[in-house]
Amino acid sequence: MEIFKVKAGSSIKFKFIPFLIFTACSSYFIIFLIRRRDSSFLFSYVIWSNGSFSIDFSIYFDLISVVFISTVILIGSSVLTYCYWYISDEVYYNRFIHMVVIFLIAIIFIIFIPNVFSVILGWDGLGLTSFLLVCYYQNDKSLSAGMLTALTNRIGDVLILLSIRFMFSEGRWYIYNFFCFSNMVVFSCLLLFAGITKSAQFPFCAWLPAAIAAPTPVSALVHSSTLVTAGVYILIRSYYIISHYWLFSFILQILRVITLLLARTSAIICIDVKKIVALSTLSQLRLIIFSLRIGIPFLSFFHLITHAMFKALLFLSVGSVIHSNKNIQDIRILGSGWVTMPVSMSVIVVANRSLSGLPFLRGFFSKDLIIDMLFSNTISALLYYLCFFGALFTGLYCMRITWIVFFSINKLRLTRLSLLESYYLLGPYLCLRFGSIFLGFILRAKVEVFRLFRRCSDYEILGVSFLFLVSLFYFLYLRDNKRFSPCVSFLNQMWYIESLTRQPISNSCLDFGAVLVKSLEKGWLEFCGPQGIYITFCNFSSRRESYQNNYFIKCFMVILLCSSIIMVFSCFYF
Amino acid sequence: MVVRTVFICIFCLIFMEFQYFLIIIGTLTFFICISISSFYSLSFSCNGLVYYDYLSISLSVLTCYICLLSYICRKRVIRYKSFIILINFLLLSLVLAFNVRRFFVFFFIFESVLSILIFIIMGWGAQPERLQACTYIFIYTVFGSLFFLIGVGFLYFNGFRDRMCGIINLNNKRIHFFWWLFLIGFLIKIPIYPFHLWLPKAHVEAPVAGSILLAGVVLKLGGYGLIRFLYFFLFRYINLIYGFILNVCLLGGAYCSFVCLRQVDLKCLVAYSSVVHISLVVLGIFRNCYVGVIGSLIIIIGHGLCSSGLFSCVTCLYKSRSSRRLLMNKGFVISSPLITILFFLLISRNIAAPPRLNLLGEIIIFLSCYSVRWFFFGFLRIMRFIGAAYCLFLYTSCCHGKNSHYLISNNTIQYLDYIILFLHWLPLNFLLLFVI
Repeated sequence: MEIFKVKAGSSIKFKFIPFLIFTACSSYFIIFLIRRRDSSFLFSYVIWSNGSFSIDFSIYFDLISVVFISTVILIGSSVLTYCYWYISDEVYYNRFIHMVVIFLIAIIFIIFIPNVFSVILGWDGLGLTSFLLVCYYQNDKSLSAGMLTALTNRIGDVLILLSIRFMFSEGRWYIYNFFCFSNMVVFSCLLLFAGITKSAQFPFCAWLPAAIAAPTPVSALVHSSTLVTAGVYILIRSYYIISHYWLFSFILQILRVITLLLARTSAIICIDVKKIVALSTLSQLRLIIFSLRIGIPFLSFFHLITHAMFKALLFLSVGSVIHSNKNIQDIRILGSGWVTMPVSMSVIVVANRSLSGLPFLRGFFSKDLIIDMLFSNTISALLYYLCFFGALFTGLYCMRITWIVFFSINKLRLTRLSLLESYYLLGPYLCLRFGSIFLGFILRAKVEVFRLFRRCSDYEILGVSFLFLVSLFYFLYLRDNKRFSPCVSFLNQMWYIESLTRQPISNSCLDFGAVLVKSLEKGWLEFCGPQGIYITFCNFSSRRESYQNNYFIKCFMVILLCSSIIMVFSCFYF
Repeated sequence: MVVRTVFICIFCLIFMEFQYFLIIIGTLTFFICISISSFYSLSFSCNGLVYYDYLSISLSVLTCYICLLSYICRKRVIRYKSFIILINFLLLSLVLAFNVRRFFVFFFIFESVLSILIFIIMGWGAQPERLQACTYIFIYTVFGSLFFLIGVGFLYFNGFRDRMCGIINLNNKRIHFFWWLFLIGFLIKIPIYPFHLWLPKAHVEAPVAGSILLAGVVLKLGGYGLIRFLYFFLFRYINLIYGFILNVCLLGGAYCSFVCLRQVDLKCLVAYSSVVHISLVVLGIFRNCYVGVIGSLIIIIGHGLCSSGLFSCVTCLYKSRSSRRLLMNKGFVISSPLITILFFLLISRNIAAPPRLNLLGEIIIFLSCYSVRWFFFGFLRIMRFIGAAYCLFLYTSCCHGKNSHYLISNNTIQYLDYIILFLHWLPLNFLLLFVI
């Protein structure tokens, strides 16, 4: 009986500092020492076989999985350490920590398991734990965000589950480096759309900005290394299957352009600082998926890793700003952070410069490579300029966050009561910042493939890199949103994407359910079944009863009786 | 198996007070028996009455386990001694039904289970609507088993021996006349879509232990019968009626998942979700291959544990709020967090999240049934997606947010309920290791 009476507040809170030191050292050690060779290890254990049908559990180690896993563990341990600072006043602290740890274990399953049969283990677990984490706060907004996240991810689950059938007819379960022998258009489409639902590309992108209803450490995980990257990771791994068909590049091209316009235009208008960062994730994912389309899966993986690092850093720092300003996310109220939180401000600068791809930071190496490939690969001029202005917009909203949080007037007037930047905050900063600054350079030096790529002219690169100067003009001239007033709500609601994709589906499902309940369950099935039979029998028997009670019958009986008496008497008489 | 069951009955009657001892013994027996009879090639028949194979052993072990769970919650009901005698009868007759070899004995037990069920619902149900529910059960299942009786008679007159497992006589044209008689009896008992109306009514009116037993094992009689008579339907594979039944069943499963979205009653929602699961079972059985049958057997066992666990969980919830409406049962994460964890774990088993029995069964059925009709995948997709929607809807509407404004009472949930829920959850997770 005693185990259920433990007081929630009295339990020991996990602090994770030694864990952070250990994981940071070991994962940087792994990343620095690894070389790109073609060696990879596959451990496989058959758990059930029956005739030609067998199910096995397998684990796969190669360059991609090891680098990715060390990045995930590094980010995860930083976030867990950060949690101690961020939600230390939470009553059920350990419950939250357990959920985050399960979330991390699920992504580790996805990374290590190459087997489409057992990758569901991580894929579905990721969906459920993300649902629990997004609706962690007990209000209606986070509940709707959680349902949206869970159900959109559920579409991906269903697609993966259906794609198992195609692997079944192929006779093996591995999607990595899979060269298909038969025509597998449907299979590649299923995998592609499963990846797109998780990585929040255009028709399914409503859940990503909604998922910021989660606590900020969770959003840091979701946006950097776990939930959205799981979709991209599946796409990278199954690249050899899905890249066979022209449909692939066609779909990706269209989705890329739409997602780009949507994310960028919303990000320069939006007033929620967390939402701006979320929208920047959307547009960075577009870059990653673009590099998949031009045929370099390893380059997109490179940018995935770098993006994970600086996006986690950006979320942690923005979260610390929000948390020290009484959890207010409105960009019009936040400001003058450099007085109270100097370290966080410097971290924001590093992360934002990395995001907009300034030279010598980490984002520069990967993002520049992708933009380089983009300039040398795009055929149409329209796409060229779209991409160019896309990069411009990145600079704009990065600058917007930085300028406003740094210099504008803080309207909250409570910053005197600012929180101390403790070691639980500085430790994760240090780990992730080291990665954001140096890791791109080191990884690029290790991988020889990137040196073979042709570079376009230096002016273009310079133009893209120093676009942040343009954003200064933006800050000076377009600071107030009144200039955009007609289209503010349109852009602020992300082109009404949520009302356009979510509302019709949920409404039609609920209406269809109501029609079914009304017409079938309580209508025809009862009418043809028990109730109908009951009423028919009742009518039948009441009619019989009325016949029984009828005057005609009585008269007939009396006549019959009299006549029979007369008959009897007559018999005796004669 | 029968001897063991009798032993368990006597044992439970003697050691009625030592419930922790009962729990340990029951769980151990469950795991050991399932792992011994791991679905393969173990078949054994005595001369005369009894016959074993993987199917009967796994189902009777499931029966014993679930009856033990309903023993544990006996203190919650009034007149519990007579209740336990009824449950003992039910346990004996179900285990006999899963192990018996002769048609007529099987039919006799098939009917006697119904009468015991009606006793439980009439005696221990709360509302006056239980009269209607009993009428529904009685009419539907007796209607089905009447056909079954006629079919058994025909089978006997057509020169078949009185054995349940010997019908592998594929080319006998005389079976053409009455194969559907058996089918109707079992399909109503399972139940598939158009004949399912008695199920929500019975579940709503039954007491906790009654609905645990009903969902856990009594519905499995129909699935057991369908698998036993599998060879019987085998040669009708191309038949028009066969396709018709499958289409109706799957369409009904998809319909029921939409109906679940609009339910306002906790128990009704869980009952309709079990109809959705059952349609998958029927699909796997009618696929007529070994893999499909194994998949549907896995779903039968998983569903037996999972939906009975959900029923007991939902009962805990509405007992503490004194109402079955979704509107009243809110905010359990604040008042009793432990039950939300167990509720979420059971819900995630119901939507077949890994690493559970249900997921394995669903995948195997997906694999086996593709070649039947291509558009079945559409139905399966809808069922899986909407299934997640209504399960999460059930979870969040009960456990998320604040308490309801119309809160009448807030009784505490007892320690014993947690034990029961945990014992439902435990084999669902770890049975996977023993089954395959």
